[in-house]
Amino acid sequence: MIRAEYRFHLPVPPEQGFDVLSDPTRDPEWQSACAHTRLLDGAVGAGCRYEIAFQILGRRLDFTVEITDFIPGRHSRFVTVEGPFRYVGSYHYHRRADGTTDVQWTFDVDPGDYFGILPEVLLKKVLINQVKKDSSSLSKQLAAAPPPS
Amino acid sequence: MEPLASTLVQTRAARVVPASSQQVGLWFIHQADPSCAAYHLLFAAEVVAGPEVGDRVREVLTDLVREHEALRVCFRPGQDGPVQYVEHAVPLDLRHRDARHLDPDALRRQVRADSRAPFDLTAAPLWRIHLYRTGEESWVVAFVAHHIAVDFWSLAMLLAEVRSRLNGTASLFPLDGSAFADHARNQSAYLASGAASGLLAAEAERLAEAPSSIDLCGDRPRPPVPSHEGGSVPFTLSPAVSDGVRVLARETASTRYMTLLAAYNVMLSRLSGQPEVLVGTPTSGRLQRRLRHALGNFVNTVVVRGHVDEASTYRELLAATRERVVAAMRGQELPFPWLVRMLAPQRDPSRTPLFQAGFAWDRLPFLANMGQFFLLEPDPSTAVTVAGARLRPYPVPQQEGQTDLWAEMGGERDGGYVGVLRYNTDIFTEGTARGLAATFVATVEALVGRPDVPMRQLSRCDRQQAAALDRWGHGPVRELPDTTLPALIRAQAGRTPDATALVADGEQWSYARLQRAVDAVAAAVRTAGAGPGACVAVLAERGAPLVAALLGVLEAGAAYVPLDPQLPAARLGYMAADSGARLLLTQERLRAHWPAEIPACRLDDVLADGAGLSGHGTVREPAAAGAHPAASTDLAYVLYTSGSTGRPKGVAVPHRALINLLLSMRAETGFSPSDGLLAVTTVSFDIAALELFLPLVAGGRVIMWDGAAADGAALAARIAESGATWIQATPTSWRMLRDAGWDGSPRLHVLCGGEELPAELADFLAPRVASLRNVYGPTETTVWSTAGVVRPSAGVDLGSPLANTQLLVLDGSGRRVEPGFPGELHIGGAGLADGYWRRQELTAERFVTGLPAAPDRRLYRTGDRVRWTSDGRLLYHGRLDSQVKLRGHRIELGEVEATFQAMDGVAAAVAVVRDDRLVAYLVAEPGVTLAPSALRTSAALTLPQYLVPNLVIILPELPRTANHKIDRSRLPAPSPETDVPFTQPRDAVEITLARVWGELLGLPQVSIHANFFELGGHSLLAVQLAAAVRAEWGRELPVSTLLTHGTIAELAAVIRRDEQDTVRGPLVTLRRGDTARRPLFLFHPFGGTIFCYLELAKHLPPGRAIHALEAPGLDRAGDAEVSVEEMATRYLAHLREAQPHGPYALGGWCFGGVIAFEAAGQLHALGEETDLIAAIDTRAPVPANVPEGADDATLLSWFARDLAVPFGTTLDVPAEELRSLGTDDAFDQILARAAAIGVLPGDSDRAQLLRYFEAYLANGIALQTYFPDPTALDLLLLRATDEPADHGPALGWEPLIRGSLEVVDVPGDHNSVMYPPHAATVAAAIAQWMGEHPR
Repeated sequence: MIRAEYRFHLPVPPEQGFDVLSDPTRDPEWQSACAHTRLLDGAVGAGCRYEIAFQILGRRLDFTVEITDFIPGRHSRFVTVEGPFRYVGSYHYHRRADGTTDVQWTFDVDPGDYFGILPEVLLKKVLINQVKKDSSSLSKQLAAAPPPS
Repeated sequence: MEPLASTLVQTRAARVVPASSQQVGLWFIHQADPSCAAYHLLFAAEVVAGPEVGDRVREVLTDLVREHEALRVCFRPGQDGPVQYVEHAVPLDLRHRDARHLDPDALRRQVRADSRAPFDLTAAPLWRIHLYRTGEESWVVAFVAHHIAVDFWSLAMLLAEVRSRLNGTASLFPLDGSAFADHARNQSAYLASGAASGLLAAEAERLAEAPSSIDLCGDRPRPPVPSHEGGSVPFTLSPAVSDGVRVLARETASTRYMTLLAAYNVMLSRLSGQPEVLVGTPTSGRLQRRLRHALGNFVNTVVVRGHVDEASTYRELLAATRERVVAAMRGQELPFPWLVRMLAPQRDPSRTPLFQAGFAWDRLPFLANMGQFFLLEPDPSTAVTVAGARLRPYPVPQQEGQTDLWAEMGGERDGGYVGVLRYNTDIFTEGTARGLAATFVATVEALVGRPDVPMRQLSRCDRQQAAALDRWGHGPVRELPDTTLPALIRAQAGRTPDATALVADGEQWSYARLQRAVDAVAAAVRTAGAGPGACVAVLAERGAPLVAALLGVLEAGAAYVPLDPQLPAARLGYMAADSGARLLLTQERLRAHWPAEIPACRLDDVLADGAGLSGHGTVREPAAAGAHPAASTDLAYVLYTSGSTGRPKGVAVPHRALINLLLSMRAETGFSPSDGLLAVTTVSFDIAALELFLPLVAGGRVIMWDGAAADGAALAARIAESGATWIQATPTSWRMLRDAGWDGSPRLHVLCGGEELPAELADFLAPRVASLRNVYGPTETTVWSTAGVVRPSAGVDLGSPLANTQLLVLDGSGRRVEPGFPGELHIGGAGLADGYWRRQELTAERFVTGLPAAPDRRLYRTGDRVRWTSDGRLLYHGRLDSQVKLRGHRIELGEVEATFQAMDGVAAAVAVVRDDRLVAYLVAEPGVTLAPSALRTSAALTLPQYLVPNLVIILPELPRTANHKIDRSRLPAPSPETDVPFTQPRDAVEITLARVWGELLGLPQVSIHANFFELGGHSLLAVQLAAAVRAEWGRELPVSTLLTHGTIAELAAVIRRDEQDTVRGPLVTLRRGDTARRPLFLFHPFGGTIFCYLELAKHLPPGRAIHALEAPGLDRAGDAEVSVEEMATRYLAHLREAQPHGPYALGGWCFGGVIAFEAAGQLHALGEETDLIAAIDTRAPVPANVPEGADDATLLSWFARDLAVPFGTTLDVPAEELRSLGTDDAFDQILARAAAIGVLPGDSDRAQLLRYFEAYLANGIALQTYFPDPTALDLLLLRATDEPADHGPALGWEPLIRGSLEVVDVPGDHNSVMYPPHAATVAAAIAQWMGEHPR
């Protein structure tokens, strides 16, 4: 089991950050490794399932995932239902004094032999590095976007 | 100064004429040193005259300038050197100064300074007149000309002409101011002629195998390039001696010049210690009639090859000198600079070519009544009147510093010849120069006075000099007690029985305990039947028992023979046998070293049996029964030193000599009962006697050091914690301590001896210790014969003689030599040894009596070349024989040579010391192949470590002189030969060690399996290596570790073993550079290692440091970075420690170019500049360049392949094979095969291979996920033209680079581009973009 964690900042209120990060349909907008998502059973919320495809380390990975926790502006959690290996992810949102948001990302994954010879320590770094890059880009996008009217 | 007074004479364009060879020579000297005033000619006079004379002089000069082209020349660069420009209009350069306020000394200084003001050779005129107004109608006038334009003869003719014109009398001769213009052309044509070729051949033959230089024994170290600064001292021969010169010249059909030159040669021969001396002497160069009255520079210098054999008489020497001068004059038409070029003698830029001393004889017959004007000490009554003006000589030194020494004669005063000795102030003090001048006068007097007596029978010192030598060379006379060393110590023990005598092995021995131990040993020795007259070998480890044993032997009346257990068994056996030792006092644990066939007495038993050896107590009188105390004249010890015949020789030292040393040094040092001396020297080195016994005769403490002799750090620590107040060591040991970081101790008094104390070491030591004494003495005169406190500002000398010691500096004929002159140091007095043990012939050769300087005194010939300075300081000038001192050890090269010559297969052997290393050059017998390492090993079986050459070089034959003697000067520079083929380093630890070894050993590359000591390393360098390891890894490695882990591979394994616990940065210095210039940083390629830059670093232009950054994950599991951005950020943190601010020069091969690009971007974001990003065959980080995915086996196969590339080998492990093995077995397979072909260190394990693979994968991931935005940076892309994969003309960089994108094609494919031969081309391509780049 690998646990990858990363804390990053978004220059928007937690609710606005939640709308982007915790909505799997918007994953392709900001996750560079995410090739595709599709909701399988209704609106985004707790109990909702979706398909998600990643392109990572030269491989395409297809998963079916279920959202287990969904508290807007506070917290969301998701768990794989089907896929090459199991993972559990979560976002926790913390409002800063200036109204912007700190996000705590946690990702537990058990890749088994899926990545073959790739050491887990590298996989963990890859995951964190990916979120680091993506969240940085997202933060810039959000900062540049006009405030919601 | 008043404005320049100038008068334009004509105005037309300049005429260009070639420059003569002599002028070209002077022009080059001026180019090298534009401030050089050594070639300024000068005439100066005090003048009393009315203003009308000045006007008239100006008119005359104006006319002369108009009439004579020679006065209007200057020199400018042409195609092949300078050419001469004849200007048609030049101003008179008259420089006025009102000097009425200057006192005479100040005026003289001003005139001297002005006369030395440099000329601009490109601007005519190259002469000027300085006018100093000293009164209403009085002046000092100085005419200064550059020798390139006129010679001394021309200057004199000009003076004569001016005088004639001012007086309105007819000219003495028709001055020719134009002939010079054809001179160079005529000279050039002549030099192309057969006549010149014939003369050249004759000169080549005449000067063949002449000494390349004469060492005139200066006071100061010769600078690498002469400064052309000098001084002048006058001298005078008495009228009687001058008459003698005239008579002798007449009788021998010689000239006075030849007569005095012969005497000058005698002086130079004595000064240099060489029979052959080359002397430069000027000739007028006016052989053709048309040049007789020409203005210009025609003078030429010829080289007279003198040979002085003091067995001959002066008359015989004079006859030979005449022949030699005539021979030299035959070649006078060959200009000296041309001759030097054609003969191409061995050059030393610190010396003038061919000769370093000159002798000139200048007579100006047409200026007879003005001869005094050219003397440095003219007759004060001299005055001449010219056109109503009254002129008196105003002597100003001139032409100083052209050579080391230059005697100029020809003038006379009051019937005696006078002269000036010019000397180079780079190397001579004025005092020495005055002494040399006085000696020359005395030499002429002695030679001329007894021309028919062999010169070696003539005395050399005048009374005044002899008195000074007596004063300086005699130590204080002190009465020596008629006693022995053990008696002195027993008396001390009686006075202070409970005081600490010895600190050793973690315990303290009181004097009483020591005395009881001594008595016990003495009793054992007597019981064994060894008493007075017998030798007892002492073989013991350093410690209190050793001291007790030595003293116990003496107490028994016998003499000890110290045996160092570190010496080879064969040598110990020889020493024991040769000394005839009747008994061996030793320790059980040294049984393996015991020489056979000598009864052994175990110290362990003797000291254990001795009742009451511990604790306090009283001191008894010596045992009466059977005791036969030694007399002061009895032998105290026999100490073996290196012997030239191949066997060590024993020096037999009596008690009296030892007592004299100890009491004299006690008085010299003031050693007191409160002092402690840290004894560091092996007992087989005679100076150990002082360390072990001086404290005991003074009631102080001996603190025994038992650590490794070469472990500077440990010794430094011991000095600090021991409380020692005195220590004696060789300069080598002090350098070792300094290199180990020791920074002195203000309570420590230092004795430094055993070899020459370098000034820089004295500079270091003196301010860091309580006192620094230089001590000197051979074993044969009992440890030290001189001592003196060193004051670095005054230079390092040998000090003064100890009590009851006499120092005599004698020449080969046994005469005392004059102060300033070198000779062999002879030592007499109470310190003399009895001689060499059982070597009567050798004793008679070295311990001599009946020498002319001291017929009744027994003296030891030291073989050391020394000289007294004019102020009574004794300076060391090396050895007169083949004995050398190396790192404090006395080495007879003959012993080393004899050892090798005795080996099978060796036809000839020569040993020399080069660059602080002992080097043996060997020639093999026909058909034999010699292996250097095996030969060293064989030598070590019989020779002590310090006599085993650091390098063994095999030559096809030894260079020989025409007389078939071995020409040591032509032995090739030692380059280490090793039987080990070159293997390059395999990781950063080895790379760094290889770089450090290369720097220490002066080698361009070092195989990781070559032994440090076989490559010329020695103990001192080992200390520096330890310091480098400490600086690089923060690890204290005992020097003993370096001795036992002698290769880079072995040492790296030791370092690696502990490196896992330390965090080391990724920066690896491939080459150190000039700190004033910015480094080049190279980032690792795919895989993270940096071997690929080793070859490149060799070829990049020198001067700039080259650092490489390797992937951190290679050393620590889990440390690999998976993003290019993170890598760059991390590397920049280290890079900026080496260079805090830009502009930066970055580069990298393959993936390294991508990191360099990202790093430059990050630096740019921080506001720093990067002026070079060199990407060597780096594909752009764009999606199109991302390779297809691969399975694990394929990745492993690629990994194995890439692992081997830097080593110029292949590791082809097919993916199919790995796929069938499974991951773990696949790793093991790669590990085994990589280690087998040497691409991984031998101590590599699976974990290391995994780290390498992790870094490899991490790099791959980083590359796959790095797609930067376009940037305004410039990029230099070196594209490997032979790479089959096509990635476009700029490898895809076009969309990323918005600055300049330079693509340079280099040969090779993607892998081979970094290795020979292509790396040199890549380096050359990068070099073009590197520039000077100061920090």
